[in-house]
Amino acid sequence: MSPKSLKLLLPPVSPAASGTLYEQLVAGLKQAIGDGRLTPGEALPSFRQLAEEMLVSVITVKRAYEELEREEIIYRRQGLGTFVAEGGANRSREAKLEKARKLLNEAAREAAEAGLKPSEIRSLFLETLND
Amino acid sequence: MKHLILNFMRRWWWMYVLIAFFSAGSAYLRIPTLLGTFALICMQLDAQRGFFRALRPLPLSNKEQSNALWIIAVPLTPLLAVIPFTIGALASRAKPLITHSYNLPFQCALQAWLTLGYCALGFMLFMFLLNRRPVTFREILQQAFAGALWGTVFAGPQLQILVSNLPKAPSGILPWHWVLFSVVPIFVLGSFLAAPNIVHCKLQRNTGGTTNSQIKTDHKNNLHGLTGLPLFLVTLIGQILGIILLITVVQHGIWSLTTRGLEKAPLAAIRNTVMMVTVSMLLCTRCADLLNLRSLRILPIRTGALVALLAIIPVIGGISSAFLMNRSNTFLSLPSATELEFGGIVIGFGTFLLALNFQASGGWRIAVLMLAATAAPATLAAGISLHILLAGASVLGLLGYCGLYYGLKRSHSFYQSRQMFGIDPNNPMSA
Amino acid sequence: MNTQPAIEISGLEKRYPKFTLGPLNLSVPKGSIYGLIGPNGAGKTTLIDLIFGMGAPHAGTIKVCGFDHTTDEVALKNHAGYFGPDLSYVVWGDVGRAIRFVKGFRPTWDDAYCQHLLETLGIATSEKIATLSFGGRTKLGLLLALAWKPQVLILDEPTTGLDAHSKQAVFSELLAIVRDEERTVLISSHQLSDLERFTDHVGILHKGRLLAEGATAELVERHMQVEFTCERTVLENVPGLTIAEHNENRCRAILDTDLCSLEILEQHGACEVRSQPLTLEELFLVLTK
Repeated sequence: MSPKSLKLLLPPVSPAASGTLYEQLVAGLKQAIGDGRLTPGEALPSFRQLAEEMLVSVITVKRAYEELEREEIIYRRQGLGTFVAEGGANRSREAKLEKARKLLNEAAREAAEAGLKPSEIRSLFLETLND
Repeated sequence: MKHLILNFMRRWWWMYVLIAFFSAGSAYLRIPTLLGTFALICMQLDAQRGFFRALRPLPLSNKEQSNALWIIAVPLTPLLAVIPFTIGALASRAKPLITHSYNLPFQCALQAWLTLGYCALGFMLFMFLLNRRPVTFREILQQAFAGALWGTVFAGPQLQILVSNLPKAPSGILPWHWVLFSVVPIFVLGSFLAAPNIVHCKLQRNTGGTTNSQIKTDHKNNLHGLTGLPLFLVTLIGQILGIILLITVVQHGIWSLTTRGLEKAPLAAIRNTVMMVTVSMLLCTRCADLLNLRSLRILPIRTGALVALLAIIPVIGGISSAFLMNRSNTFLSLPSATELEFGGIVIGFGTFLLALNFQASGGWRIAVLMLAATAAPATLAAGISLHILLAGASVLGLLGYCGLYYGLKRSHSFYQSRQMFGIDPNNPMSA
Repeated sequence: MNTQPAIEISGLEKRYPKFTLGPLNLSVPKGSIYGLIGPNGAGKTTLIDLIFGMGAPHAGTIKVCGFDHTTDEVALKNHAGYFGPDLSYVVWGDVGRAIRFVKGFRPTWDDAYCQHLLETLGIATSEKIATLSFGGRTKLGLLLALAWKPQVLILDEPTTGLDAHSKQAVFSELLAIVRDEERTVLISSHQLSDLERFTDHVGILHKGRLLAEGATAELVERHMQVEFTCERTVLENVPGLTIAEHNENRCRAILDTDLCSLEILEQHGACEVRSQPLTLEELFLVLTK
């Protein structure tokens, strides 16, 4: 089965979005794998094909794939291509969770530095959630 | 206005020096001539460089701009040319090289008066010259006629015929001279009235009107036909022959008019050497400028083969000149030995000029071409035999051929963008 | 797979009265897009011209696909396509004739691809070249370089004068070209943001010399922008540190993390050190100052 086009599946890679191009690509792929739009065992396009689809350099895609491979979200088979790993969705979600935790920690620290009490920080978080 | 005039003179000072030199020289040697139209050539170069557009944002009224241009082109040149002419004529009287009757005040006045008319005529023609390649049929027609007339005004045998038939003294004035003298004020007035129009005409963008390719959905497929080298050869040879034919037709017509049947008009008025050298010069500058060396160089062709391709320009020029010179007035008969010799001279001289033309960029290119233009009648006037000329042309031709080869390989200036006279209309600032 | 570089330049030198290019060593790996950047007059065009035999170098060799630029000039030109701003096809009258002219020299010309390019770039074969806008002529030149599918494409300033649509179309064609891993693109440009996005490798050329070279992302990430307070004289000669601006004792600089680190900077007496990542453009501006 030939890999499907990811062009409209992933958010557009843009210099206006936060993070470097490759970070955006990693985030987009994690999102797609995490919410099951890309299922385990599914083939991903080659570097060069995805580069062409996303209009970024080959090396950017390569780095994104390498990072996802390190995190065991995808795997590569020599000569066959790149595939979504079994459990990739969970690991992808875990990675997302990890990142959220880090960001929340940072938010809490900023708020503490601004002089908010723990109870105030809690209500701030709840307020954010309700928005 | 004063600034514009002074600026023009400062930029082209060497041209004025040349004019002064030639005026004085011709007066001293008492060679009948009409000089002083170089200012117009300089102005045309300015126009091609986009000078007129650069002028536009300056805080000068339309009237001031057109007046300044008119003063530079029409009255200033004869005024400046007549001074060195007088000096030369005085020197000639004090220490004559050639002795024949010479009415000094009359000659100076005649020179000034006729140059004035001549410049005025040139200025009016200048209006019709486009400063870019013609596109529509009307533009091509306009450019062809204006260009041919313009070329005829500046270089052509009829000018030589005209000046050699001018009166030497007041007593020698013929009725047709009076006609000639009396059209001068008409030309001057006409050119003055036309001046604002000229400024307007020269403001067109050098690149021409652009089309919006986004909207056009024309998929008419015209990709069939000759390709590659054959297409190149057909186009190039067609262009050369077209230029020669145009010159021949115009020259023939003007020759018939000016001699009013006194002399039988030959089929090809380019039969004299001066004209032939002019033809070869024109070919080698015009065609070479049209061919972008960069676009040829990136093709998979050996350097040697590319040189041979370029050398086609003077060779075709030479061969067609030899045939056109044919006095039997038919194209079908073979040219005689003398005519072949003429052809050889054109080839040799042309190859040399071609190499020179590619190497020389910028202002000194014009100087080189002018030198070549004056060298040709000079050698002819000196009465050098055809054989010696041919030998000289062969040496020059060989030099030119080697020059082309090494230039293509080593010279960076060969690949600089240029159009007519080293000026690229797409990029006027590159000049 | 053959690992021979697509373009290999070694010891190249070209001297002019006022400018010297090189000695220059450059290697463009196969299957990549290589961006050559540099300020005006850095020697980019000179370098590209030399590859195609427009001028001869004083020393050094140039090889494209293994073909030497002097001994195998025809073979080289059979494998390498060129585009440059001074390329002019006006003499051919209309677009179709220019296409026919070039097509005759290129046995690998692909008519279907040419038609595709005509449509994506939005030019028609019946258009007069003389009336094309500057961008239109650029598109034609690019089409003539692309449509015969050369192994190596060498493009000198291909995006100048192109509108955003055409620029995107061109880059998407270039990415499609390097898709098969055998073909290579060398591109010189001033549009640094584009190059940062599309190129795999960049080389920064300045005053005829290659200042920095490497994979685009690595090159950018290897450097960071630092601000600190220090006696400037103390930090003048720290390797890997390029001072961009300074005002009294406050300094802004670029740090090459391969050669230097924030710790080393602090050891040299810098305090209140702040750092942040930078873009290719910012790196370029400081390095070529």
